[in-house]
Amino acid sequence: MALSSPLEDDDLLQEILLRLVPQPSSLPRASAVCKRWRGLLTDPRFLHRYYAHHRKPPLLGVFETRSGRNPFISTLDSPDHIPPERFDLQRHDSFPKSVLDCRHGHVLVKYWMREDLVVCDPITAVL
Amino acid sequence: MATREAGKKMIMLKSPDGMEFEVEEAVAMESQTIRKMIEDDCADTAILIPNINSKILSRVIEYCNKHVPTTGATGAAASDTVAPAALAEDLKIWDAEFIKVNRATRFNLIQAASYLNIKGLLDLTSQTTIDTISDNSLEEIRSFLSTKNDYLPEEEQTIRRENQWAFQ
Repeated sequence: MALSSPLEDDDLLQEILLRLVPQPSSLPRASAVCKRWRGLLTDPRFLHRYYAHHRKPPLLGVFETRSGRNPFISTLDSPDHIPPERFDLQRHDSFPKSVLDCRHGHVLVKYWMREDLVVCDPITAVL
Repeated sequence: MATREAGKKMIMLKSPDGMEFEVEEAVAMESQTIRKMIEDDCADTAILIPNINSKILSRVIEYCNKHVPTTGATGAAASDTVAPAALAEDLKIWDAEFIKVNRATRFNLIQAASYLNIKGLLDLTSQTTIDTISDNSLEEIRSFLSTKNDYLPEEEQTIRRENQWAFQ
């Protein structure tokens, strides 16, 4: 066979890496293998294919809604156990709020002091 | 060259090392690359498959032969007699045996599956590669896949710190 390892071909390496289990630790860990892997794994086109390949994202955890702070509680074991501060809905501001719903990675939030609803991206805490 | 044998259209596949394989057209068309060649009428003589040696090509044909009855137009006959679930289970067991090959062969199969565009084979070979590394440490992954760690120690530390929870 004239070709070298498929791991040297970006397309084939992506094809293989697409099959990484869709758990939260998979991509961060694989990114630490080497610079080239990190480059491929953080490419938006790869991420788009990765989401499409696995279709159903895993359940990462829940927002504990008994207080106005709504801390995130991971339901996964280590190394997929995401700490509460990573999805801190109070990072943007400290006003008390209620979580109404979660969909497609976004959280629908109702501020106690306001009438309108706010959609929040818990990864970036951007409203 | 396309010939007819017992009513089935046959296709000749040639490897670069000079071996010829006569296969049913339906089997060859498991490869989307070959299917396109046939549909575009580029395949009236033998089809040369570049870069895939006879050893790998024969394994690929073996895979396509096994998988052809459950997909495409010829699937009806087989699924009439055997329940689809049993058939799928049988294929899964067969696949697991088929992929018990050394790393070099598996990598060659990945390349062949990609070039010939055979989705099932690409899934099987890529998934097996990922499965063999998924529970390993970074050092084991690098060594198993002969991938060199080109991070400076402090760069790797930074990456680990960014998502520290993922490395616990």
